[in-house]
Amino acid sequence: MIHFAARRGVRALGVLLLVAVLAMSTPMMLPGSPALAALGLEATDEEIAAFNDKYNLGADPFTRLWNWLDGLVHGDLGTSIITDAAVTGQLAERLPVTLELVLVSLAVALVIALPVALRAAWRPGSVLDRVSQVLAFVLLSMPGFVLGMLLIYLFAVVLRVLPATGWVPFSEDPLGHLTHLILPVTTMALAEAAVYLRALRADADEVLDSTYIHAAQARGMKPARLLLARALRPASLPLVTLVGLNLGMALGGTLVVETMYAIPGMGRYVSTAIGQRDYPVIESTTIILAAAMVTATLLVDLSYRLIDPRIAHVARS
Amino acid sequence: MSLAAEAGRDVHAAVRATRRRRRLDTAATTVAAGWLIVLAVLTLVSIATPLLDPYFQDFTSAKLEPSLAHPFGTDGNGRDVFARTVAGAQNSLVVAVITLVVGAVGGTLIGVAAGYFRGALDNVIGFLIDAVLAIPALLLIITIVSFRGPSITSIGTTIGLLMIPAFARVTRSIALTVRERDYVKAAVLIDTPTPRILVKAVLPAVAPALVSYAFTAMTAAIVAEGSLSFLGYGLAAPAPSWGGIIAEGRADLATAPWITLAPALALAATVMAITTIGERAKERYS
Amino acid sequence: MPSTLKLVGLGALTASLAFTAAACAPSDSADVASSSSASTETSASEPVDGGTIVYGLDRDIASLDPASGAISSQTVQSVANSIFDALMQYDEAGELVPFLAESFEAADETSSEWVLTLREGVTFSDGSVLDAAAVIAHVQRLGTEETSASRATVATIANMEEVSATEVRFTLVAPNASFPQYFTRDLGQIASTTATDEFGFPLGTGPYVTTEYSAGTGITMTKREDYWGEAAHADTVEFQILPDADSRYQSLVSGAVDAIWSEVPSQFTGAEADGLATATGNSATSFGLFNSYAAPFDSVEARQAVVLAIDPQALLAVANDGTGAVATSVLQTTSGYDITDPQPAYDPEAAQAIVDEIGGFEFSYLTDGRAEAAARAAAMQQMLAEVGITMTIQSSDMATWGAALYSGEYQMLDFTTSLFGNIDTNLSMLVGTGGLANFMGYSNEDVDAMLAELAGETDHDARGVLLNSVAAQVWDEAPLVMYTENLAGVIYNPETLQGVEDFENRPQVSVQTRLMWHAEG
Repeated sequence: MIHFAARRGVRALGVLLLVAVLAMSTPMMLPGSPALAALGLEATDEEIAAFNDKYNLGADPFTRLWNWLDGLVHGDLGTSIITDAAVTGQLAERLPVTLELVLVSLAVALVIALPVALRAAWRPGSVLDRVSQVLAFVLLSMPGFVLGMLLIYLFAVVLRVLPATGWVPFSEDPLGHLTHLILPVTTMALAEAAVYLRALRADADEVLDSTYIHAAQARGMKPARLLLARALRPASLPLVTLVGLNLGMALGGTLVVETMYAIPGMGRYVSTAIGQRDYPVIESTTIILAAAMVTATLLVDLSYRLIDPRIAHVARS
Repeated sequence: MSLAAEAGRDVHAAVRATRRRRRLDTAATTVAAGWLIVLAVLTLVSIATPLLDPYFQDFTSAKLEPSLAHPFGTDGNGRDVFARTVAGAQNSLVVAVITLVVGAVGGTLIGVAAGYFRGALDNVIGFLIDAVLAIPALLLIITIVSFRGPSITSIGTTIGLLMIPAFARVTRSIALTVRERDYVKAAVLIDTPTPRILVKAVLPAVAPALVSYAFTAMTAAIVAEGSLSFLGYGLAAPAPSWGGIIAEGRADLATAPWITLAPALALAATVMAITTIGERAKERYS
Repeated sequence: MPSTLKLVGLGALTASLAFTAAACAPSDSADVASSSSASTETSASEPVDGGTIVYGLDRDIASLDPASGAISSQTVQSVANSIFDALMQYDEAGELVPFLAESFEAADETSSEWVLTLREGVTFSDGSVLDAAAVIAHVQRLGTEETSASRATVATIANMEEVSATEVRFTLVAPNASFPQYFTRDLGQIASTTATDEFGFPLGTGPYVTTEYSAGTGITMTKREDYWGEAAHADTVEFQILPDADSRYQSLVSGAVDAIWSEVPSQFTGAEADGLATATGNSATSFGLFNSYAAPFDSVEARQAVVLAIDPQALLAVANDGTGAVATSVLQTTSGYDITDPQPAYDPEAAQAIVDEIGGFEFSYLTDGRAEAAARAAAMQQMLAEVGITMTIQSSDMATWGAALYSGEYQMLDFTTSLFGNIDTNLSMLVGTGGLANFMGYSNEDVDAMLAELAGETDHDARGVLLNSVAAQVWDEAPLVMYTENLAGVIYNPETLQGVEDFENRPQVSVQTRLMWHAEG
């Protein structure tokens, strides 16, 4: 296990390194020189050199990555070209917002999907089963921006019970914070819940059909206990994969929701930076989001073995 | 009540449930296929005849309510929303097909190569796939689109490139098992040329999984293209795409909801239809 | 601060930032005028003190320093005016009047020397006194900070002299009869060069002080009790950053905010039905720029054909929902000058005749990706196709658009700006040789001579003649084509918010939070 973890860890680091070098190459790939854009065409060579030096631009990707890593060690991720603010400080404001959004959505999605899926699998063909399957299907077919638009229209414009958009920090107004959280979280959670529901339902079906469940049932095990103790564990394997991948991706994938609901999170931060060619911001956030993804994948891999040790044997043989 | 009797009742219930599900499945598949055929016919009409012109603007009739002349009303530029929705289908589907071709061909080549040859090649490919998966997808697309400019091909190939890892993973696992089959081992032993083995033995084994995954990939591509257009990184105006039309009409949601609702429903219905048919395909092949 | 002088300066020129002239062809703006009768609301009830006003902004506020360029645009004057007082402002009739200044008068015949007299007893929010030295230090800082949107303006000042504690004498490089017009925004919003608030931004003399600040979320301001003028009504103003225009409007409809900034035509037309009121001016002008240095627009006939083939009335219908007005000249309808030499009117036959002669051609039209620009471009595409000109639309983002504008790598480009509002000072910037906003690279000796004459001319009628003469010359060579004067301003909930000014006749929409009050206190 330790050997396996170490091997995967090294590989993850390698992947991250490759992505980091790619991220540091973006100024060379996008048209337009940031120094010229900022200083104007009549800028002198000295001005351009000073500018490139200040924002860690100009050098080759490897040197730039080295500078970036050096800054990282000192808690300094560079300076935004546009706002001249420290990227570290801006990330400290943005990252928690997106993290909260993603984690709360995940929790809500699981709270919806788990009981419904298990209950539905327990009584296949029941009303709950059929309704949940159809709903999941419809939700899966509806892109986030369509679902979000419908939710805003319904709850903010027609019913006027929730704010359409905006973000209130928790420290400022806890209640306002929660009301502003409801619609974006719902938009994300419903789609995720549909994915989990279908995955769980399909697997639970298979597991519940297996002989050891039938045996346990024949021994008089209570349904609830049976579901949780025997069925959930094996069925949770694909769920862990999905949740892990989703978490990794969600950090960079909240852009649509953040745009619709005016949430000052990572997605809007990076997309604005891309629009403004704010390379220090693009690079730092890309690497951080990639790190999140790589870590999530690594944790999924490791947790597989913890949940179901048989996988280690299968993988080895 | 004896165990046997209970089991018997369960069996009956299961059989009934299965039959009912089959009937529902058939009905759903028919509806789904019907929708896609209607869409295809309308698209042909839009391409072949001047009846459905998504570009013609009547500056004096902007934001008209749905009527006989304009079944889905008109947009802010006085264009027919029905014609634009149909043309949007065409663009969305073309993007989806390009995505599919790039993703499936690239993914299969890479996946089969990794699975069949294994060893160092497999490791390198696995590593690269991990790297692609680690980059935030939407941000990568936005970067590439702002670099290359928004066009059907640039958007389609970019989404397609991002789908290569998924296709590669699906095909690799199958290629791995095929490699171990006796007839493949035998073919290797008698020095059958590798390309021949790949074409005759590996590809047919990979095909069913490819086909079922293709449907999922297609819906993902349609949604991705829609999201991009919605965020303003999609096809350049005035080219109609579902996400773009929805974004254009969003400001008028309260006063002229038809501009947004028609393409939104069409998008959702198409994704549902493709998913439904994809699930049937999956059942059939597995 | 480093960076983006160019882009920020550009910002100061673009639509959003609009200075402007509240133009309005009466017929077109009648509905809007009636729904925007903010003045009626104001007189209807007595101001209530206390409470919190929640105001939705359209962009992140990266800094609260006037020298940063971040609060110099028209869209965020509500923020700037809360912290800083401008030396000059436009009154309801559109006249330039002193505000933080006691007076700002020419000191010689040629208008190349000006004396600014300050009010007595004005203090910054730390209690320090606003004096002549503070003004000079502020102007100097705006002339040197890289990000300042007013660097070019400060460069026209040769010398500043502290005559007394409350008097500053400005000596200009060249005569400028409309010099005080420069002091309505960042340059006139005097910021302390010595004291900063807890967020590191300079202090102002304005009615509010910043108590909470977060670039991406919002700003909270608290009323100053020691304000030199009549104290503000609301205790606090909470600015929320809501960049998505649709979501911002929906926040207003749902009651989460009391007022929002908007430049979206459908929101102005739909506001009344949603029980909302508007206070707007025609404060952004849209026009097209030709690249006269590259084919096909190196040919004056090609440019003229495009000008004649475009129907601004149709652009107004599709891009502006019929709000605002058609732009007929570089002079706006409310500039106070008669338009004697309008741009050649829409004439597809004449355009067709030119195309028949020079042959059909193709070009690419670059937009910044905003919905109004896209709608406009789509309509133009069809109009031009009708006379045999093929236009492809290149929709980009603000950064790409700006890069193309500055590098001249475009054929024709869509531009919305507030520059035309202050045409007295800005015409030379637009069409003078080497002007800051002369992105066409237009250069004409006669025009330059007339612009020099204009700068020193103080007689109103004579200025009108000169302005029209410049316009006539510009139409002949067609480096640009005027489209529309667009609405920009505030949409608010009249049940909760009162005291929003009427901007209809003002050249810029400069929102004053101190005059607003929350109906429930």
